[in-house]
Amino acid sequence: MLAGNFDKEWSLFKNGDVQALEAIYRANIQSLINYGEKINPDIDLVKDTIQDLFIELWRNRQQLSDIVLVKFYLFRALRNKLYRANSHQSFVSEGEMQLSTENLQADYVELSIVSREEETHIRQNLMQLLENLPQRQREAVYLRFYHNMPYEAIASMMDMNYQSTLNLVQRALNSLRKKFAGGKKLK
Amino acid sequence: MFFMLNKEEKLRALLLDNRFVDWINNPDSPYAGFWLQWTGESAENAELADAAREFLMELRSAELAGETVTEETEVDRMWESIGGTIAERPTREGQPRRIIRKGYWMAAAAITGMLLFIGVTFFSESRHQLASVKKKTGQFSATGGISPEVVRYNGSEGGELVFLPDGSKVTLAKGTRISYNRLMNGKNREVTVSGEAFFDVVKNPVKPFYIYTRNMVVKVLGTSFRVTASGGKESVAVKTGKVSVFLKGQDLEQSGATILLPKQVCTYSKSTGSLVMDTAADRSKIEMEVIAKNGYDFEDAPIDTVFRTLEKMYAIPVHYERSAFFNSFITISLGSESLEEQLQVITRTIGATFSISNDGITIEPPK
Repeated sequence: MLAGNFDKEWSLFKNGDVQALEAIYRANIQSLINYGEKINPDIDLVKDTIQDLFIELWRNRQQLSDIVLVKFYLFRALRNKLYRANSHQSFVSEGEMQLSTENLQADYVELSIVSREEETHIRQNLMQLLENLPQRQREAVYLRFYHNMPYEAIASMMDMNYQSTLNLVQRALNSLRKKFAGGKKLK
Repeated sequence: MFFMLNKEEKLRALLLDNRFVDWINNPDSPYAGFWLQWTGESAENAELADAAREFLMELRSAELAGETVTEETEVDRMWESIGGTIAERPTREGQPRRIIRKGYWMAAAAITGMLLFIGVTFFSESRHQLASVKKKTGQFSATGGISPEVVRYNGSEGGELVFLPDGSKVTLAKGTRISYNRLMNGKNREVTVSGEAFFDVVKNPVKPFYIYTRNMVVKVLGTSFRVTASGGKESVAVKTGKVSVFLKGQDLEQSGATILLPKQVCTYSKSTGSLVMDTAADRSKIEMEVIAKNGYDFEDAPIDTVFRTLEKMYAIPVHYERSAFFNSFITISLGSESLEEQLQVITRTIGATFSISNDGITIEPPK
């Protein structure tokens, strides 16, 4: 997936075309806000960070290289910036935070899903299931299935190796499928 | 090892496969041939692919419904703030002039012969509605029946070809959404667009084709044209063919329509709230990959494969008893006629009947 043609709009922008940057901004802003919100629910912080990101892109444009997938590049840059902002705020290192959210939420999610199922007896709502996934699983699922990014790209974006990324998505799929298939059993 | 797994495990393995997911998400996936063949190999494969596809589509619907939509004014405000900061530090280099990309015009022209370009700038209102409904209730049933409105979104990096039930085709640029009545069985054919799209519309004087953007309504009189959303303006530019443009809120058939002919540009002016005419369409910043493929050809293909392809093309489920058609094979080209016409050809060939409802297409074996 990382093979292919360099993005034309990106090349124009690198050569100083503001309109090209605006086109890149407009093509990606909705996705960037939505992705950012998954990393940090503080929408104002997300928007500020996106603005900073584009300003920095413009200032550093001569140092940027040609890229193929603009969205992937922007997502990764936004993610890095948001995590940096995050760790300033909470004084916890990124690694610790990832570990804690990943491990602690898992048990809680299982419990909450089970109890809700008993309460309602209706088919689980996928959207709810998605929101209940641990944050990193949620993010990987969003990138893989909604933005069609292959594991290689997600791995590089989330600073993981290929196998861990695969495992992350596999765990997410297992809990999604468990509830989803409950309503629709395969024979 | 694969054969030792139970169905659910096999299904999860499919869902974890980059190539399979790419095939579902991206109609021009390089893996399409492989998976079409794979699903044709056995009834079990077809069933697995079916279940996996359904799950992925529901997942995408859930994600789509969960997206918040940022108001156009907010998007503008953010850009103005970015632009303002950028402008504070002017660089020494001159502002290079925009290069007109002739190649795109030519490539697009080569495909249909008749083009019309429409530029719009904002994200459509139907998205706002979708999002606000969701925000209000906090509930969205991704599985609760089929909505008559279908939203098709291109989340992939390249262009995506979408087939409309009337036989018209739309190429969506990345990030583009269109929505329409799934069966297009209303009085008019109506499509709401946000993003960039190239339309190839089938003529039907009885059922006019309308495209809605935030401030404009475009009535299509000719046969093919292109809609784009980029940059800070909303405009319609015709290459060849003919369209009329209205302001939203204007009575559609009332006087005041602007008829656009080739090489004319019609721009929506934010300050005056009116449409401004101009000539020469080459300033538009349209950049879009044009899909060369116009349909799908099958030679002696299992009927199953053909139905699966129809499902993807039109985003409409096809219901049928697989065992009743296990030995049906068909040679057909999909994509150049309306959905109904194609279904007639298929069902006549295999001696079946079909019906279309909001739940999708149902194929009945011969009595």
